[in-house]
Amino acid sequence: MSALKSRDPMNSARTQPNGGAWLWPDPQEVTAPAVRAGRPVRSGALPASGQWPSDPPAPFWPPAPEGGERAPRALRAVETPEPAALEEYDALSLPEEPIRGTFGFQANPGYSAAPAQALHAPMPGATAAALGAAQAGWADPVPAGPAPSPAFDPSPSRLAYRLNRLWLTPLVRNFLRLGLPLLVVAAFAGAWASKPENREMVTGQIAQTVEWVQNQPMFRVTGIEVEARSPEVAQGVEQLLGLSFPLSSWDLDLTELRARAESLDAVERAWLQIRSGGVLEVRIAERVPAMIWRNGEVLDLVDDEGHRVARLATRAARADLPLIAGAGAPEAISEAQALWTAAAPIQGRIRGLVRVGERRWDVVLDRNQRILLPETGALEALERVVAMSEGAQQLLSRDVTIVDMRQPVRPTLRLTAEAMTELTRNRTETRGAPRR
Amino acid sequence: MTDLYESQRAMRNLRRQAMQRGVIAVMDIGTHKVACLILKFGASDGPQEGFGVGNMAGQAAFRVIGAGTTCSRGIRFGEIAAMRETERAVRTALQNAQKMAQTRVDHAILTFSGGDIRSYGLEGNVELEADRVSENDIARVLDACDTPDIGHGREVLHAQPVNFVLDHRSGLSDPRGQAGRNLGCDMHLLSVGTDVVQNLIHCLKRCDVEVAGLAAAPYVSGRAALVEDEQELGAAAIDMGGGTTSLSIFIKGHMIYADTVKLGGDHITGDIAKVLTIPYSTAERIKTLHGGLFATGQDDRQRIEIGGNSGDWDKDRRTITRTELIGIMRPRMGEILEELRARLDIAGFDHLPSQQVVLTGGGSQVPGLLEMAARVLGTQVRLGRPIRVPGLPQAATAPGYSAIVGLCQYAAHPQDEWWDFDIPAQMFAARPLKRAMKWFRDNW
Repeated sequence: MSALKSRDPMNSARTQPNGGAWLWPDPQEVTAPAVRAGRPVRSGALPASGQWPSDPPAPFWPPAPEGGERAPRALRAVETPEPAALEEYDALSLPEEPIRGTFGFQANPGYSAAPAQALHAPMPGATAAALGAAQAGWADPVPAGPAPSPAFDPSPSRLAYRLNRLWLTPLVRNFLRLGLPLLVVAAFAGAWASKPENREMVTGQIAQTVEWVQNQPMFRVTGIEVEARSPEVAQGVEQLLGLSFPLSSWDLDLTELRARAESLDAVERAWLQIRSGGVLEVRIAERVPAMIWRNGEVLDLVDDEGHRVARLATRAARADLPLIAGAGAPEAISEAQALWTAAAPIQGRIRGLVRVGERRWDVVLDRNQRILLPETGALEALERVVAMSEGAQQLLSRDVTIVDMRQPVRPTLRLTAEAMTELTRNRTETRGAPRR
Repeated sequence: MTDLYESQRAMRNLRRQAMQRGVIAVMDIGTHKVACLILKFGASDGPQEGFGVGNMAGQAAFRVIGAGTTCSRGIRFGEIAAMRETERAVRTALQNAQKMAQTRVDHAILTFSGGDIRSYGLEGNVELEADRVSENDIARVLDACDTPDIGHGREVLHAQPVNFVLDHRSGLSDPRGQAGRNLGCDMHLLSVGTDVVQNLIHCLKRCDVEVAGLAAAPYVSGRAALVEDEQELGAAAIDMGGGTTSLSIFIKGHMIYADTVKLGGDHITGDIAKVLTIPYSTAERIKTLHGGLFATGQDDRQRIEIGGNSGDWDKDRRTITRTELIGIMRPRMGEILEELRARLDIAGFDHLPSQQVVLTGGGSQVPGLLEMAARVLGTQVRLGRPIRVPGLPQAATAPGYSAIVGLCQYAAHPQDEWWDFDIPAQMFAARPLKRAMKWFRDNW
């Protein structure tokens, strides 16, 4: 590198015979004496006569192997170093340190601790064309690369240093990395959303998308299927739900539909499910009527909790169920059931149970007989009456209108008028008491 | 003296504050390189002291999280010669270390070898006030040490109590709580040029970093390079730097002498450059790669291309043999070692029970130095590397980093200094009253 470069300033000023291309050896230089520009040239630096004039000069280092012919060499500066020949130079050259500064004249070695030039690295600026030309025949080795940079200073400037420290401050750093982008995004989003038409567009888009998704076929419900014990109830529930198909399953509020289905008196419980195939399945558990309640002029079926089940047209339609009457009767239906069970021996004669004043029960029998039961202990009182009527006394088959058990310690009977007359007569006859 | 006392106390407070914050930088501002390490205190995953692990000398407490090294600029003989240049070098090292640590540091502890370090041995003696040694007595006896005339424009860098004497019992390291009547103390005082220190502090201030402590390079490199028994039995640590070669003598775990020779590796480089007329950078590289101190026959055959940038083919193609290079380096190294020998003789190193010499610093890597130093400095010579501290990069385990590694230790486990004890000023105010009470008690 240095050999060629040292010629560089000299020869470039001269006109080249072949149009600016380099000719080597220079005829002028060949004829010139060994002293040029006042500097004595060492004889070793001159080309050997055997290579003269077509071969470039062989470097005197490393020495040629003994006995071997010196191979003609290209310029070291532009050749790729041969590993064997340059083995010992590898330690010298620092390939990771590129050449800085100008060629030939190191303008400023810079401030790096490592030497600023690598002795045997190929010229970094030499392009492939220049390399090839140089190897072929001593072309212009001046690199076509970028202009050499001024001295390299690795130290950060004061401003860069301060900015770097600022960047390493956690608060600033977090703000710049997270806070500022968020702020910017929020500002843009806010500015955009401040226009009502933008907001409307967004809500419209959302609604449209939601509608589109909800109207997908997999969400479509096309029919209803009500499973109930009686077809009347099933029909009633279907009518009550009042759904018009097809509709999306997203529009169905099953909880609300269930509440609506259960609002029907005959329905005790309802289970709703959207089955595959787009069918809304409603399973109904109906109320089982336990008694008939004569509510004023109408007959209602009530279940064993006292809840109304359905309207009954005639008593004869459900002759198997006992009849209760009076205000507040359904509320005390459990007591009525207990009384009904306890009155099993006289069930054939019972026409119904009447709630009196919403506090106590009357048992109404045929033949206008009536058993008045107390508020508390009605069951025991009825059992006593049943025992009296079933035993030897045959109480209820006698001419009694009312068995008054309202005072359990003092049961009272009311006889019919004929029975009373007969009783009076009997007493008079037996005791001789005057006629009253 | 008092303002120095105050400034050293202020630095100590800064150091404590920085340690509470958890991050502190240590910087070695040398002639050849400026190195910076960033230490993180508190969170340590290194070995803990305990079973099987000996005294870790406080190393378990910190971890190196950042390191930056750059060639120093504008520094000669360990002192700032061009402030702006030095500031750039410090900025480079700090920024590299901060980048590696991903944190910023606001406090730095410095070490340097310039400033013409001089070493003094002081002693003081006081009567105890009570029958046992209290903290106050320590402060009083340190205060009673007669300060020598350290010269104009100089101030105290280190003032370390190295020995306590209690009623003819010498060699006490911690006399607090012991019974006695008379307490004496030996103190080692290291003085340094004020301007050098002020320049360094100003330079760091221009880099937005506050100086939280100062330490002399021979002291901290001795702490890093000497193993514990060498510090106990007595040894000299020689830190061969770029511009200065510093020397510290340790015994019983304390430094008792420190000195610097204003000769170093840069002078060897300069010799090579001048003799061969090559640039300093090339000379430095040739010295580093091919340098040596003992020539052999093989070295006559090994040729070194020294290159050049003159543009003259002949000049740039020069080669020298390694023997020539050794011939250049050897006399300068011999001069350095002779100078060190003279300083060791002044310090009375011959009278120490152990004559161990430990060579460390970047200059100690020259091949053959051990043999050469053994001829000059005595037979017990070894090369020292800094101890291992957690998180230290592999590149910073070379001998050239022993000063900064020692500074890490110093930051984690500072030696007690004079100013670490309260100034017994309040005692002066209390003394007349106490004296009056004593007079009353004696006369009534």
